[in-house]
Amino acid sequence: MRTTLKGRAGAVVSICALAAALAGCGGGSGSAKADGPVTLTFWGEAEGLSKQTAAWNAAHPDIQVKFTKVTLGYPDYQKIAAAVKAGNGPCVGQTDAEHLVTFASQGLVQDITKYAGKYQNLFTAPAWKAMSPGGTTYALPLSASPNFFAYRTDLYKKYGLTPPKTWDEFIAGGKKLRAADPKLKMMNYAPEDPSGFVGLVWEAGGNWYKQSGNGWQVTFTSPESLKAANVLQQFVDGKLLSSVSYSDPGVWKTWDDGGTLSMTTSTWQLPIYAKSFPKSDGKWAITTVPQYAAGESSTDSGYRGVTVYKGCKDPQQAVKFAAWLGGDKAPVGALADPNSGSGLFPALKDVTPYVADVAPKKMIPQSDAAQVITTAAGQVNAAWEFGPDYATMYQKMQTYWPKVLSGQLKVTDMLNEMQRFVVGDLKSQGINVVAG
Amino acid sequence: MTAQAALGRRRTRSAPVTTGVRPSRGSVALTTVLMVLFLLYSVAPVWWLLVSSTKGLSDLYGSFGLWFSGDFHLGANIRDTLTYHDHIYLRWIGNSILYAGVGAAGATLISLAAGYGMAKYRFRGRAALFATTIAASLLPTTLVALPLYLVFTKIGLTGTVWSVLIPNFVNPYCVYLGRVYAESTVPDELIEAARMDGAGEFRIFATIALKLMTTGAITIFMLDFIAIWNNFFLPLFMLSGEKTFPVTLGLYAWNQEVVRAQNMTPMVVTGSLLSIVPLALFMISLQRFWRGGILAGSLR
Amino acid sequence: MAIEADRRRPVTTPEAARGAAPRAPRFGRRPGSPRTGATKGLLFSVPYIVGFLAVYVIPVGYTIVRGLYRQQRSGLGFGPARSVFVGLGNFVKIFHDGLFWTGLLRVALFGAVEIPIMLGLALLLALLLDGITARAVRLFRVGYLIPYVVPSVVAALIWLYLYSPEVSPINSTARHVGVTIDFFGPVTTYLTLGNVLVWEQIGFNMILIYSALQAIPRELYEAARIDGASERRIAWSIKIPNLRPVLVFTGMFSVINALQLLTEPFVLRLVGWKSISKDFTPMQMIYNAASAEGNYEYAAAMSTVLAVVTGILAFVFYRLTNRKVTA
Repeated sequence: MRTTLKGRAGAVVSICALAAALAGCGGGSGSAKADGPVTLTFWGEAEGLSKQTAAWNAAHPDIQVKFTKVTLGYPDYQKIAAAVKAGNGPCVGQTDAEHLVTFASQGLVQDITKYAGKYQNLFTAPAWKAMSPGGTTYALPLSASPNFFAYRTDLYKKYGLTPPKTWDEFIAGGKKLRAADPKLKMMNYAPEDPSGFVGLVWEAGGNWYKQSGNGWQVTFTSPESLKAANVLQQFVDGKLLSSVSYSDPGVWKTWDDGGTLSMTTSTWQLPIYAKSFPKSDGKWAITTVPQYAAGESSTDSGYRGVTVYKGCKDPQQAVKFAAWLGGDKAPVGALADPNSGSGLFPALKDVTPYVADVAPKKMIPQSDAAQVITTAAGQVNAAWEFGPDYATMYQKMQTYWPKVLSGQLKVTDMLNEMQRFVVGDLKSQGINVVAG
Repeated sequence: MTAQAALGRRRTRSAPVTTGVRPSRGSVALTTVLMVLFLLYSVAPVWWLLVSSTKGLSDLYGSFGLWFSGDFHLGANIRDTLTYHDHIYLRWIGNSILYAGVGAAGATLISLAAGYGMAKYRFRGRAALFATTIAASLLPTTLVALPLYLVFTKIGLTGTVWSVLIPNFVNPYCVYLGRVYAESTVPDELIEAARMDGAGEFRIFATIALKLMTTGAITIFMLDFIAIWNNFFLPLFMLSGEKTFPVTLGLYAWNQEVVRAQNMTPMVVTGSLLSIVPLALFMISLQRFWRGGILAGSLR
Repeated sequence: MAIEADRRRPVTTPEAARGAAPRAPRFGRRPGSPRTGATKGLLFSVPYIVGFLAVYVIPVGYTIVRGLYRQQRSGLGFGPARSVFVGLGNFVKIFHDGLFWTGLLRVALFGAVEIPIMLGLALLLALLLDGITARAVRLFRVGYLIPYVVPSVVAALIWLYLYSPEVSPINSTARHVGVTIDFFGPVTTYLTLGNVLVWEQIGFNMILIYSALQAIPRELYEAARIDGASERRIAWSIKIPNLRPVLVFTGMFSVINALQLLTEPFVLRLVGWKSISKDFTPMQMIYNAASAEGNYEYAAAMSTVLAVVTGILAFVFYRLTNRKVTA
């Protein structure tokens, strides 16, 4: 009995030692030495970042970067925010543009305009704008995800459809498809994810938050926004959409089995499709997204950046690292490769050296795929801005979204509700709201 | 009617009754059927998990869920699960063992000491302390997670291993159990005798009381270990770097990644199955104490 | 030595005692109880008291206070926010927050149906288990406890796959007979969720009840049998009344936990968005406010309200179930 007790105590002691060792994973924002090597902590999610960080470390002994892989969903961003507030957050971190705004609105990021300015010309204007909410730069662009349109070539042929140039053609095609088989759908809008609608508004040139002096004009019911609402309402009324959650383990079967024939999608999703469409591999083609009127050329795009957080003691070095990661040939090329990296499409003005392999050939055999994506990246509408309460707004919209998709709630009713809600929310936080 | 007569009558009636103690064949059959049905209900989802762990991606959706398909992928699935991302799964299992093992060990020691103190000494505030303990033991862990998160954010503990370990050290329900065990297994006479021999209070606790409470200690440890192992919400709130995740949170994160890559699905399924194994082994190895501790009554 | 002591003293089932204890904690019932070293007695509890303050009292107090504040910004809303004292402002907002009260009513009503069913089944199983021979008991006991060792996230993940509208093996089988079950319809959602909860909870509750059953002196049954009582009658008039403490305890625990329902809807929502909204339960709302919006003050205030409501309901439940004992 005594020996077993001792054994147990020994085990406890060694586990405690392990605990102490593990606690080292916690954080710490980088050292404050004037010169000599500095260490930056870097939290990111994308595949391949770990490898690129290692490459950076090998080449820059004076600026060492410690990478921690995190997941980046809504809760994770709040955890990062909490860590930054508590003083044990990272020095730099991978951030989506919409979350950068949230961070900025909580005062958790550093103004790096003076260090970053010299890199501005490398990146596209909308990417830079996305990294500079309210006109102050907090992050350097890492990647863009321009939206384009993908469709099943075999099934489009079978049902006599042509890739739609306009949303009207898209709707007409959907009606034709339904006449052939009411179970078939043109596109999937997931019930948890209103980003498809955000994209429609963005493409239309709408913008829900217009900066106006020292305040915001909230414009959920602008003509552009209503134009998008009208198209979406026709999707819903015409029953053109499937509605499978992206969290459903069977979501990919929706397209792979041929129930849904097309999608608006982006670069970062391509490596996923390459892995998840065993049956329909090689039966896909891409083109630019349908437009509101023939001859227009507009699309939307997500942006990811590398943000410098409050509390980072070496912002200058951090900016150097971030500019390298999103702007230097070697890391950009490696991260853009959908096979080894993440398919992170560069946010650079000149993307020609990187796009050759950006579309997986096995899935999309067409020869001009890279050209389609490059064109889309150059057509991103510059009107869009993310407002300071974007996260709260998006949460609210998510509550209406399933009802909109099922036709219980008109899109315009949702927009009216959102208008009222966002104005109220901004006001209650003390933020200036200009009537719009 | 005399007692004698009553007894006699009872005796005469007792014969058919004693045979009646053995229930009728019909009711035995009904009982058995009910119990087997519930057994199937309890086991079927885990059975599905086991069967699914042996399947590749296409069979997972393509073949009958409750039976094996021709292709046996278990080995490959386990290998994928364990090696993915520099063996992160093994790290998660290690973290779970750390959180549950150290957490439960700490909670057990603290609880036994406090329970012993409350059972064997009279001090001012004892009643209040015990009442508070009872009330707090009813507080659900989910509800306390946010308050802990708010405070740990304030002092910069979130994201560290300690943010999950420290709350697990304190478990009022375990303190309650500690008091029950101290009361029922440590005789006062023994304490008195030890005092007569000149032993100090702390030595009495360490050398006599703790030994007597071994069964209780292991029961407390086991209950708390399982509770911590299964906890999801506290780590979900506290942790951000995936190297600190316990296996429950890790599996949830993987399941989120299914969104990005369908070929994660077999790993989520296999990982789920593997996450039950340590707990099942732990429980089976402590089965004696399930009877001795939780099921103390059956030992009469 | 330990075993010796165990044998000598009839060990109370902790669970049975636990059920009884809130009613009558028996302080100092031993006249020979050592009274010396009172401060030392307190000393044994010091680690616990310190921990309790750190992990319960301070965080809860801080949460209540935090609920009295609100974050205020200005201008464009970028840059650090100020904490502004708003008194009961957040609580007033909660009072008018229809989603919160709908969620609370939902979990309360859901619990009112699910708990009696779950406990009823657990009781039935325990009674059945109590009535069969020793060898088979072990097999069933282990089998019934399997769901208990499955972490609730893993359980929810398993059922998520079984329920997935896209790939459910239940439906792929049901389709052979031309049926497709909608697991997330307006009514079926509650059956779906209820099934997961019953599956998770029944085993452990059954074991608690079973161990309390085993603690009832067998002589009571013998006496009843001699009096000619049937087995069913014995179960009804001897076993069940003796189980009252453990039933009150498991019931109370279930009520409290039902109001904090989170993991299962949180995970099942991944396939059941259609009917399980992100505000389905109060705890989900608290989680969203804190982790998606960063509105910790509102989350803190909602937690406070939820705790108070839970406390009231637990008290009412306890009063109702205990009145029967004295009546």
